[in-house]
Parts: sequence; structure tokens; C-alpha cells
Amino acid sequence: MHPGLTARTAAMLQRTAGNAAVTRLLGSAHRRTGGIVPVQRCGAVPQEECPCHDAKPPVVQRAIEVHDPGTTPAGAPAGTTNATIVDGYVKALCTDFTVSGAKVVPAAGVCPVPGAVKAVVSCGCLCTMHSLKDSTGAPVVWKIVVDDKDWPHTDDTTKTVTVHSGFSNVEFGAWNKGSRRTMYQNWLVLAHEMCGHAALFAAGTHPVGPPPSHGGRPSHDPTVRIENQIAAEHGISPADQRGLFADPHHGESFARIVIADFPSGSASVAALPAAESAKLAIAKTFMSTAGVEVDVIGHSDQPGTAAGKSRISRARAASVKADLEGRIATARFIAVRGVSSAECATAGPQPSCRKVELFMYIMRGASVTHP
Amino acid sequence: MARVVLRFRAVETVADLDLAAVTEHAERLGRWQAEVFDTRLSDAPYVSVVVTIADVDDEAAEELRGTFLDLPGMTPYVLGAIGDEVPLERADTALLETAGRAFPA
Repeated sequence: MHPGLTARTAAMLQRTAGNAAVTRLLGSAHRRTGGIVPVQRCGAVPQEECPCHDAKPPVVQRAIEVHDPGTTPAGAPAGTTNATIVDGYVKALCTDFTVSGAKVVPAAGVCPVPGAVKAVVSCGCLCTMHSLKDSTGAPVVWKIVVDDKDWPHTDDTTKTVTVHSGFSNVEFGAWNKGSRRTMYQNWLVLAHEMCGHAALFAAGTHPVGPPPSHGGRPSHDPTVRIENQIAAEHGISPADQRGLFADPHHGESFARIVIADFPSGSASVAALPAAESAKLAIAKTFMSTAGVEVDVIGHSDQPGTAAGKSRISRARAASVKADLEGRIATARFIAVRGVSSAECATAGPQPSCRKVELFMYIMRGASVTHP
Repeated sequence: MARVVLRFRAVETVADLDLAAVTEHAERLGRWQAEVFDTRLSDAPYVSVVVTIADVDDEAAEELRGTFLDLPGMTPYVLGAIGDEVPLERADTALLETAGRAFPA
């Protein structure tokens, strides 16, 4: 270090005049450091009298990681990895966070005090999780797992949060306060798990009971309230926010797979395009892993008589159920219904309306049959 | 000393998971600490038991199998790593050692 140049001065010079100026001033020894301002050695000078003491580099807490970051999920385009997928989710949740390598990290200054919770719930949650330490001061690492075969969930025993990739053909949603289904984007699923469950575990305040009852979980309400705060921060209207245990269907969540493009007048799964037929295999795998129950809802487009549309929508639902029963004998089908063209808003032939929706759930309250 | 995570998934549907039965069986592991977690409360389609085993050997694997393999409607797994659930019926010393290293306390 140049004898007359403190680290603070060097840093200021570096900002205003660039590394080259510092390097020129400090000479060749500094060049070998790659242009980074070196730490000035204080020698025998007491630390409090030395403005550039031999401090250790600041410890960066990186307590959220992406599991298996380099893997490309099935169905995802080349170049898409678990890391890039989670990066998208995290940025949607809080623009000040990003994924670097396997680490979920904040921009400089976003989480100035380890453990500080900002007023904004979305970013505050990530700051909290980013700064977790155990009783010895060691970082507590939570991992985000991208797994398209399992139900999104949080597991405190393994410190993992599991979400889907967005390429699984499985969408997620929940019953809202107005007894309607609301579909989610996957970042909100991550927010639910990371901020609504993992953060409560980290704080030691996650409910440990009672067990699920009446098709729902009273203990889920604290998580849902956090999710709804985050939803509000992102402009999601109160009407579309998730219901609580006291609301219809207990605000429980569901997964949805849509099998569309039935030929007009046909309920045969054999007549489906290959891409749609493939979703039946996806449904089978997902059902098997997640142990879900299922509502099968058939649809038609608008052309045709009321009786004919009702009949074909029921037939489509029955056809898909029969196909899945043949593939997975253990599936439980709670409701198998046809709703005609009630949810097809566009007149004329509409292949996208000639479909079957599989609504899958782990809590019976999410069934359309639940009182 | 090994901290082994067990997961109990439903043979058919999550509605068949029986937390009381899992707890009752876990209490039979008198010489080890066994904590039961109702992971359904955080959206998991399974319930979990974390067993702290003093000495990992084939006898320990046999005791785990004998304790948990007869739970009706549920299949127990040993979590060897994230995404690696091995049926408890295949548990041996090597698997328990691997599992113990995967999720230390």
C-alpha cells in the first residue's frame, strides 16, 4: 500500500478515477492483485487509531440455495435450468434478489442488517431467510428444490422448499374468498412456501397442529395471511386472494392439468393430439407421487344443443377417468362431471374449450363437492 | 450418531395418512429419539419421522423395518438425499449412514 494512501482514500479514488489511477499510484505490487483495493496493514498501530485496520472481509450470508442448479427440467427449453427458473420466481417475488450460481442473493444494501425484516413483506421474507443463523452463528441453509413430480411443499426436517418448474404441464391454484378458483403463477407458489411456511419454521412460530380436519387445515391460516399480504403487494385484488379456513373450501389449494383439443363431437382420448395425450401420462405420475384425489370436469365448446353439449362434456370426463383408472388403479375420483359450455366464453368451434380439467388436491376441502 | 429422516407416503391418497398410527409406532423406538412431524401442515403429501440413532448398523436397520413396515395404507421411505427416497424395506447400514450424513441436525 502506498504509504500516504488509506483504503478509504483508495476506494474513493477507485470510484472517481477508476482502477487505473489507483494502480498507477500504487505501483506494480497492486497490479498483481487484479485491481482490487488492497487492505492496508496497520502493523503495530492500534485498530481504533487505524482507519484501515486488518479487518476480515465481510461475511456474506447466503442462506437460500437452489438445489441442483444446473439441471434442465424435462420439457424446458435448452439453456433453462433450475437456477434460471428460480431466478425468475425470486425476481418476481422481490426484484432486489437474484440467483447467482446456486445462491439466492440480494442486491447490495437491500438487507443491510442481517435478520432485518423490511416493511415490504415480499423482500423482507427473503432478507430474513437470507440471514438465518443457528445458535452457534452458522448460516442455516434452506434449499429450493424444483421437482415436477411432487406436490409443492415445505419440509422443515430437511430445510427444503419444493416447487414446480413451469414446464410440468401442472398448474397450481387455490380457492379464494369468493368460492372461486384462482390460478397462481409459480412465483406465488414459491412465496407461499418460502415466506408462508419456511419463514415461520425459521422463526419457530409455524403451527404444529391440529391435524387436518373437515378437509382443511385451521393451522394454515397464518401462512395464507402472509401469502395474501404478498399478493396485495403485487397488485392482486382482494377478491382473488386466498380464502382462510372459515371461507369456502377452506382456501385449500389444487393442481390442474388441462387436456384439450378433443375433436368436435368426440370424447375419445385416442383421438387427442399427441401433446394432449401425453398429459395423461404426466397426470398419472403426479397422482402417484403426490397421492392426490381428483375432480374430473369435462367441457364442450358452444356449438350444439344444450343436451348434446352436456352429454359430450360428461362423456369426455368419463373417458379421461377411465383412461387414468387403467393407468393408475389407485387414483380416487371424487367428482366426475360435465359442465357443457358454461366456461367457454368464445362463440363458434373452439378446440381449447373441448377439454377436460383434472383438479387434484391433497385436502378434500379443495374438491368441488366439498360443502 | 445419525439423524435419519423417514417419510411416510400414502399407498393411495393423502387422506389415508394416519399421524396417530405413525406416532404410536415411533414411540416403540424406546432406545432412540424419534420426533414425528405432521408435514401435511406445510403442504407436504407425507408425514415425517426424524430418528436419531446412536449406532448405525444392520441391527438398527432391522429395528426400523420391524417398527414401521406394517403401517396400513402407508409406505415408509428413508431419505438418502434430496429427491432420493429409498423404501424402508431396503434399509441397511450403508443407507442409514448415507441418510445420516444427508441431513445433519
